[in-house]
Amino acid sequence: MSVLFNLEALVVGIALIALGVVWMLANLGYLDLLGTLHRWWPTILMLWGALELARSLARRSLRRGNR
Amino acid sequence: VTARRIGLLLLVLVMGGAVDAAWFLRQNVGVGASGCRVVRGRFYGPSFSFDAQDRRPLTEGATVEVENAFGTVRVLQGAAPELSVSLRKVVYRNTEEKARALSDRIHLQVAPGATLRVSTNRDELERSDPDTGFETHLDVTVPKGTSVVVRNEHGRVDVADVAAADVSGSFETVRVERVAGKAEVRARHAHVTVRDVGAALSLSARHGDVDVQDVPAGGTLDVEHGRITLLRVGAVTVKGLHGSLDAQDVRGDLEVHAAHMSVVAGDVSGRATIETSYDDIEVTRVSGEARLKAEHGGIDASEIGGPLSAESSYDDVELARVTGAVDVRVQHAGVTALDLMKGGRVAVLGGEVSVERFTGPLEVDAQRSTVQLQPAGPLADAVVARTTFGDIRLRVPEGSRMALEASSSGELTVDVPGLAVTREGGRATGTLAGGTNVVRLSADHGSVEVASALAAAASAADSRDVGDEDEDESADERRARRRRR
Repeated sequence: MSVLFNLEALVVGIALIALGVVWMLANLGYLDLLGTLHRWWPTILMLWGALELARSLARRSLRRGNR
Repeated sequence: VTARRIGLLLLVLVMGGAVDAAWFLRQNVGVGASGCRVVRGRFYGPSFSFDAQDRRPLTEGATVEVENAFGTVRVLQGAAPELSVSLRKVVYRNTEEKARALSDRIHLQVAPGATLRVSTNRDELERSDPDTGFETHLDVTVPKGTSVVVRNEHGRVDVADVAAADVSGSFETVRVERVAGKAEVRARHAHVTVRDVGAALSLSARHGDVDVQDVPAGGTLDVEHGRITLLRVGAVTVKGLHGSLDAQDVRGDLEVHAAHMSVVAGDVSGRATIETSYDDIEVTRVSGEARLKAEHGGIDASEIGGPLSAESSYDDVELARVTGAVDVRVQHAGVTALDLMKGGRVAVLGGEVSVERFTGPLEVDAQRSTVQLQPAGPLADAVVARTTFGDIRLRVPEGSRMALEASSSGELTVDVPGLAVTREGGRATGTLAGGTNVVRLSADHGSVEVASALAAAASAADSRDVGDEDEDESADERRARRRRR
């Protein structure tokens, strides 16, 4: 198994779900769309970095197990 | 790291940057209270309305001043000898509870004195909380004979049935009607309507149309960037810049000093003094003198009861039925005149001159122009026409008399029954019916033709059969040009 999961698809998928939820809540009047996006958009980068790190660690442990 | 991943990273960063930029704009460029935006003096967003009232006695003939910043101001006449103020507070907040809390802090202020002053405590609220967003709509009822002063910054103003009005408004309609005395109106970014003012009107408007009707005492208007419509007004002076003026049924003198503004005037019972630039002047039925000047524009004047002075450049002057003498100066365009009752003087540089059915002495001084002249009846007055680099054609009606002096550096033709001429080089002189009225025609680098009007008409009829199409086309063009004006 060369790749544990498709990282780009995961990041895009989670980002789309988050954007949709925020947008819907804004339409329902629970929060301010622009303010929320402005405050929280860097979490996409953090999430992506975390997933990148997790995949790298998982790959290393997989290689050790194979040896 | 794959290219696909770098592309995705860039996309995320660009989207984040766009969100940050939008946020920055909202925080730093937006005007007005938090949670709402102000565009052209209006708030947008969820709002809640609350009402308040105030009544107090007011004697007839008092002066009431109403001051407001955001919202409508209406001033009407009431039957009772009292001042009645209805205040509708529209508060922009997300919830009714928050809106009510702010509404409770908004108060109507009525300050007694020689001038009764009606306002709200907006200034005080905005000082303590700059994010307050609310409108105050004031309905004010005053007794008969009250003079009114209204200062409204962002909102509609309606004033009716008052003794005198001094009104300022912006960003919404300003309407002043049925004012017994004088009216003073100032407006910005607003459409102004004024009706039935008993004394003089003084109006200043920027960026908005102005509609004035039934002001017999007339007044002064200073309008920039707007269309002006005047109907049934007294003597009026208009200062205008960028826009148009349509003045009909002016019962007195009309004076217009404009630039980049088209001027149309009809039924002026006094004098018409109009100057504009980069647009046209069209006047019809002026009882008195007309003095018209259009720089880079044309002039169309008809049915002028007095003398006419017209000066234009780069577009034609067209005159019809002028009772007084004319003084026309045109540069880089021509003159067409019909039915000039007292002749006059025409000076043209670089255009065609056609004066038909004229009476009285006429002097034409033209350069690089062809001149066509035809009197209305038998010629008995002096006619002087000079041109360079163009021809002169004079049609002589039956029964005319004159002392002809014609000179030309080109062809010189004289064909009038009863007129025997003596030729000497390029000059021809002769007398018709013992006339002493001098007819002096001089064409430098052009020809002169003096012909009987009857013979010329017959010849024109013959040639019309051949060239009908061209002539119709040019008449159509002329009509189209007038319509465009």
